[in-house]
Amino acid sequence: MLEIKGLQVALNGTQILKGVSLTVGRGEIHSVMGPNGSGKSTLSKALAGHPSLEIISGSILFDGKNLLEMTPEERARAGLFLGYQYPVEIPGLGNSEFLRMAYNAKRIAEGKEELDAMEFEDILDEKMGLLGMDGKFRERGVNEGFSGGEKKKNEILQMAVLDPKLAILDEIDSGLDIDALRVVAEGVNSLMTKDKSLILITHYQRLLDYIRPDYVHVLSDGRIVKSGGPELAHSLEVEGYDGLAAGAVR
Amino acid sequence: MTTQTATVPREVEIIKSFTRSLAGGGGDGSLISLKEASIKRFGELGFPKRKHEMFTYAQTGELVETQFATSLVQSLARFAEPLKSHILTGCERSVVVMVDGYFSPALSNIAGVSDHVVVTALGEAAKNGRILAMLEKSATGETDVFAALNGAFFRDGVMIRVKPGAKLSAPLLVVALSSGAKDSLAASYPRILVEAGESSEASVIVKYAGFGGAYFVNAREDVIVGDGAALGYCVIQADGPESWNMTKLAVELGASGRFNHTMALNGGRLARRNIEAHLKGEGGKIEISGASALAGKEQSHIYARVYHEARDCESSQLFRNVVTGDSKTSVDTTVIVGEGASGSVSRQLVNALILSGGARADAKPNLMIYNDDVKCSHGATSGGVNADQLFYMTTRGVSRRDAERALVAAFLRSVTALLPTPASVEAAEELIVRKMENVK
Repeated sequence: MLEIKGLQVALNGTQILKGVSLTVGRGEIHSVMGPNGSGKSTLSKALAGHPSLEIISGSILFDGKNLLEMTPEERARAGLFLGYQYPVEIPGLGNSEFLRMAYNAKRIAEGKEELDAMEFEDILDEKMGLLGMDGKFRERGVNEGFSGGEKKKNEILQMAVLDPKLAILDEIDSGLDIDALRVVAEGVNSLMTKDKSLILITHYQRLLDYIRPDYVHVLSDGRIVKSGGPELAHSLEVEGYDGLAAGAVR
Repeated sequence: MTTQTATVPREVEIIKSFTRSLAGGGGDGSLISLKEASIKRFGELGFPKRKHEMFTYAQTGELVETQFATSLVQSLARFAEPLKSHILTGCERSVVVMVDGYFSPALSNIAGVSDHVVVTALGEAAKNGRILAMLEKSATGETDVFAALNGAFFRDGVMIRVKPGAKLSAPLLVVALSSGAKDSLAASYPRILVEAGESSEASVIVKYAGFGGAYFVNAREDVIVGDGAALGYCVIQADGPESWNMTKLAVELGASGRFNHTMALNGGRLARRNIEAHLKGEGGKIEISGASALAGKEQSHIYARVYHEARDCESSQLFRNVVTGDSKTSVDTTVIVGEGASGSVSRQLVNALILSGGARADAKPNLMIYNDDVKCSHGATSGGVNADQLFYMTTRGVSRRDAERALVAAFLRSVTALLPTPASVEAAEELIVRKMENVK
């Protein structure tokens, strides 16, 4: 589904990613772990098409299409979803209205008719029920005044509504207490099918107790320095990133 | 041989015109002393010249040089049909109508609020010595030359008195229509006086609108909020693109009074509101919020002076303006905290979205503080659409164009959402939010 080869990316003239290669197959869950500043968020933004990033070299194929030639909205309509570490607040734009805009943009791209507000409400009701979300989040501004946990839940609600082929969740666990983490993780698990793929970006093994990855990759200084199965995450808990990076060099 | 003719200043022409107007009747006799005080003040102030502090940002030169004729409405009845489109849902039985500044009892309908509200022609109201004295005092101390012009030339006006303790179930809508003129720039001088009695609760919505063409609305709004009263006071300026609207709003707030003022401005050649608010009693609270959406060569200008004159008063101001094309917006606002106004709290925030290279936004939030026990903040921002919000929306599949439109709308809605009823919110959104959707 996703094939990244030799990706090198710079931000404001500083190279962040120094040759990342990663292949994610259909139905697979990959976890990208790494210390602060290793390039995890830059990788997620590069996949989503952030305009401030400069792609120095490399290629990204998504479902056989050249992702780097696509605008952020084209990537989203093709089925790629980025769950933000710090979701943006948009006061004045109702959450429900925003979700309907996004949903209808996807429908138009698929050659379908737009849904009106009433029709969309039924879909939203179902998805909010799935995540146990209070109806008050429907009319409030997008993420406006939401707590950290509520913002992350709202990201998963968007994922549920847009039903992407590949979701990249950037530190969806940060700032969550144990209960909120469990709810968010259960929400993600409920959306996964054998056709959907997931990249989980995280610092900690804790999230992986709830969402079991098929593969774990360690990103350090802009490169994937080690890949393995779920047991790699457990090793990280014991050895830390420094120990693992040293091992990788050995 | 050539003959040189001295140019007669516009002020002199206008004062002569005033004298002729008085000789021709000049409106209600009870208001003549007010008019004379106003024309005297007009002569003293004169039209703004370069570097006039009050008109630093507002371009009025073209207006001052334009010959305009006072609108003389022959029959108000012909406005009954076009008026319908301006009556907001929920206000059908609480509407006061003025056409070219003339109050029309026949077109008005206050049956729904008549137990709580008294509406009279201003001339009638001025037979009350207290009201007349208040109007005359404001005329002699006037600092805005256009407001002085209104005081001299208004023919009619309306006073709305909310009875003490009354709680209005529906907003009172004042529709101020301008009929326009075919041959020359028509000027009208609407005058509205609102008095919210002690402990009353009411909302008033003033809507300015016209029937197209070029016209000049020179309006005056006086508001008195009694002790413990709460008044919502909204203005929807829906004049056309060729119009001029120069309005002075003067507010006096009693102890523990509440005054929420929300404005949605369509612009035109120039939409200018001069707001002078006095927090005269302890514990008063005033909130002023304004939004404008301008295109082409339109202009909007807010000039606000908020005086904290008593203890423990609070004022907050939020202005959100969007400019595109070659349009201009400006907000020049000062909060003055007096020596005796301990415990004052004030906030001023001016935000502008600038959507084109030719557009301009000026902001001057200012503080003058003569007391140590205060908490005051002020700030201003200007720039394009927020890049993080834009990227966030596009990563959800929303096109860049739709995302920009939605973000402009969201920016304006933080003000339009403050209007008191769904119909008034919709009217304001239709005026400024939809306008921007069509421009971009």
